[in-house]
Amino acid sequence: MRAFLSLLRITFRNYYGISVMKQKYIKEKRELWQPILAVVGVGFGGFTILSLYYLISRGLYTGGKMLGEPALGLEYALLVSAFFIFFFGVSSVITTLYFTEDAPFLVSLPLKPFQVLAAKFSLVMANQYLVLAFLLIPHLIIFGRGEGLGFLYILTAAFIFLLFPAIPLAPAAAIAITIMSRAGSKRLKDLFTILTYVFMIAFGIGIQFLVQYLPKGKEIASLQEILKNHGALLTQVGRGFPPAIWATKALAYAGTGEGLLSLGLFLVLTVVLLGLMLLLGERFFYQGLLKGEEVSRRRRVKHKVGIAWGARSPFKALVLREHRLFVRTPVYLMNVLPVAVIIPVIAVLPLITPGKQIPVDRIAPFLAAHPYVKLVIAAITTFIAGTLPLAASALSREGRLFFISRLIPVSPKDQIRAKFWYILGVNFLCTLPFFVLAVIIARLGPVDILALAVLSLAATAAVTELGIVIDLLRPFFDWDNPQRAVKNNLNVLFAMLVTLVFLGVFTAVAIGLSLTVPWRLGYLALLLLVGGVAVGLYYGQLALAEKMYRMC
Amino acid sequence: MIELSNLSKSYARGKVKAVDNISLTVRPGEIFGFLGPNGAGKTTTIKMIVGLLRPDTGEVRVAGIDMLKDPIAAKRRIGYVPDQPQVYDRLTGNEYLNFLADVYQVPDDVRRERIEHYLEIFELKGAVGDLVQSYSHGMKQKLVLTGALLHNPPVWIMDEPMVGLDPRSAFLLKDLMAEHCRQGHTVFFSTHILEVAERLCDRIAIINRGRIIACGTLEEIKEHREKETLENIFLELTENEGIPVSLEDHLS
Ligand SMILES: Nc1ncnc2c1ncn2[C@@H]1O[C@H](COP(=O)(O)OP(=O)(O)OP(=O)(O)O)[C@@H](O)[C@H]1O
Ligand SMILES: [Mg+2]
Repeated sequence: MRAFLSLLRITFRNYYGISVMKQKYIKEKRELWQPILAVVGVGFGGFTILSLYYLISRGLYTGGKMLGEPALGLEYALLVSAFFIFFFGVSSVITTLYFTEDAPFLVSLPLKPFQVLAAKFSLVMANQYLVLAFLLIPHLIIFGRGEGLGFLYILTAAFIFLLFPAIPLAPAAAIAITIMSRAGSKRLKDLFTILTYVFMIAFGIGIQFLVQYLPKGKEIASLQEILKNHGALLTQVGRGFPPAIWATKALAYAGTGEGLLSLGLFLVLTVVLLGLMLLLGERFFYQGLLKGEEVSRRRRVKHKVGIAWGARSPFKALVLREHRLFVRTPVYLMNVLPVAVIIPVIAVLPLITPGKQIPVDRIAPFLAAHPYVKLVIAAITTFIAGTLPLAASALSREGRLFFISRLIPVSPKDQIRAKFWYILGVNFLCTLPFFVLAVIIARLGPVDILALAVLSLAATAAVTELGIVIDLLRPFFDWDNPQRAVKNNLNVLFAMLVTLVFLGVFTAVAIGLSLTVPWRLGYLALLLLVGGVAVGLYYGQLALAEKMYRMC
Repeated sequence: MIELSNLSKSYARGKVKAVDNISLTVRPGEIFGFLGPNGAGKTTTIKMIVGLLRPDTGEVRVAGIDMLKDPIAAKRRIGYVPDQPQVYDRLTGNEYLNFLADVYQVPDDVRRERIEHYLEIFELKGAVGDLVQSYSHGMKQKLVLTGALLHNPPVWIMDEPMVGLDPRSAFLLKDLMAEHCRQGHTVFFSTHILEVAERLCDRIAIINRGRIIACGTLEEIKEHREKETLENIFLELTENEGIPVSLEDHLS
């Protein structure tokens, strides 16, 4: 037990850099303003969003209460949380379990595989609490206060809060362990990683879709009946995900027999899932882990040698380096490709879900009457590009090897130029699935398609540049696991916020134009503006690069 | 203390035979040197001994315990120093050592004494409270060595342990190894420094392309060979087809 606790402590300390922070901020009292500023900034932003969210939550609670089911909002929050944790946690499960440098060290220690797995899984769980707190705590507070619930409620809430991430993540880990134990080598491991990820995402989306597809017509007819039944609506909503019902009932009826029973069910499920995962882990975890140690060597093909050694311009060589590091690091692919797939799927789901269908055939005439609305497509592609992590980790991804870039006799300008064009290419490609889909659904003509594509490209370039500028200003090199370079990188978050600001300005200008000038003219003005910003930022980032590469 | 029988391991689905059917026994009280050119299979063998790699075929026994059957018990008896000092960068030296002491279940009073002892020897006392990030390569190596010896394991398995150590520390390490064996324990280490092997080891094995091509005491290896030094023997035994010949061609 002591060994395990020690392992747990070391895992967390190393991951969160607690010792580093202690050293830096407490012992040396260096740059104390940085964490303070971060806390204040994040706190302020968080507070603004949180108060908005609080209002919405209150609305949900009041709405539920009017239906006679005050716990409805809570249940929605639990469902949404499970969904969020699953989608954002899956990649972190895979990388935390299988892509950390301490694997050989840990395996050489006299620890049971399930202990190592449990420590790593705890880390994954802990990483979910921030999001979970954000999504769930307002609802918990509103419900608790609204219903005047006491100590038992708080206790139950704490329990459920702490265990909740395990329910979506333990099966994800179990799937990962099973699949990865079959991966024969490093190469296969990379492939399997992506496969596992795609599989799980598809699985998640599939469930969502199925839930929406379940016969709805009858229920609406019998809504009256449902409302008469105590708690029936809760059951109805949570049908796709029973643990959410149990958790909700455990909270709503805390202290009563029904509450205890639901809590019991919830706990049993959690324990069973965790136990199953650990059992699988004890048996298979090290297999997949150690397989990653083996790097398959390609058989040397003679005629290829000539090409491989052919001279290239430094610019081409740098672009190629970007490309190779990107496609050979599954973590990076995992953080990029799904965005390109998920957003179009989410966008299309409401269109094809039976029930409240949006009338697809009325979109085209509507757009003809209100041409400015077409800009929504460009705005969404820009948003997609802005959420991709490549630009905001352009330098950070080099990590401790960044010194190589400072050593090589290629000007920082050229290096950033190479990064920029490569990342722009990837980002633009990732926006294409949505773009194509939107164009098809909206039945746009060739002129409109071209116009929107050009505008999208310019806007994508602008947000890409913003990301690179952010990363140039505060690169993050001190990571030991590529996941952290993209996921734990605040720059990625900043880039998203800046993208939102950019889109806000974009929208404001577009609305202003739509009220004053005809579409063609308005489009040109907007394109000029966005293009101008993109070109300005392009040279801005190059100038900044010269400074940055010299400084640190 | 260490018994390897018919150990094989190939990488890349059998295309690269890294270790090819080797059998070895290292006895108690013995310092055993493991020599061989780059890529010969030393690290692969060592990783199989400490349970980091699963052999394709064959058996590993450490202190009489089958590594595949009871890995935890076997690992407890091993002090392993990997070929590269990989330490959690974001921890302090103290935190790292305490972690290892916990995992190997070293009692509190014993651990303090031993940690002090080795830190003293390796002159790490001043740095042990600092983050590992701030260590030099040699300091990391010494920290790893300290960590590996903390639980007083009977079997030391070290992959090129002298790399990066200053002459004084290397000397001290050799001293520690000799002392360890005098107590009836075992040291198994790989090295590229032939003088060390020559002077320190009771027995030596030379591995080339996954096979053991010579094994025994220095005298046994030198016997029936006209070459005098270990260096000459090593060069002769590990001569890969044609390379020195073509080199000679180039030179002439
Ligand atoms: N992770 C790996 N994946 C694939 N092949 C590997 C891997 N590690 C080693 N090999 C191959 O196995 C063989 C033996 O390598 P090993 O590392 O055991 O050599 P070594 O004797 O330790 O060499 P050195 O003296 O350079 O440390 C080599 O042919 C090497 O290419
Ligand atoms: Mg080696």
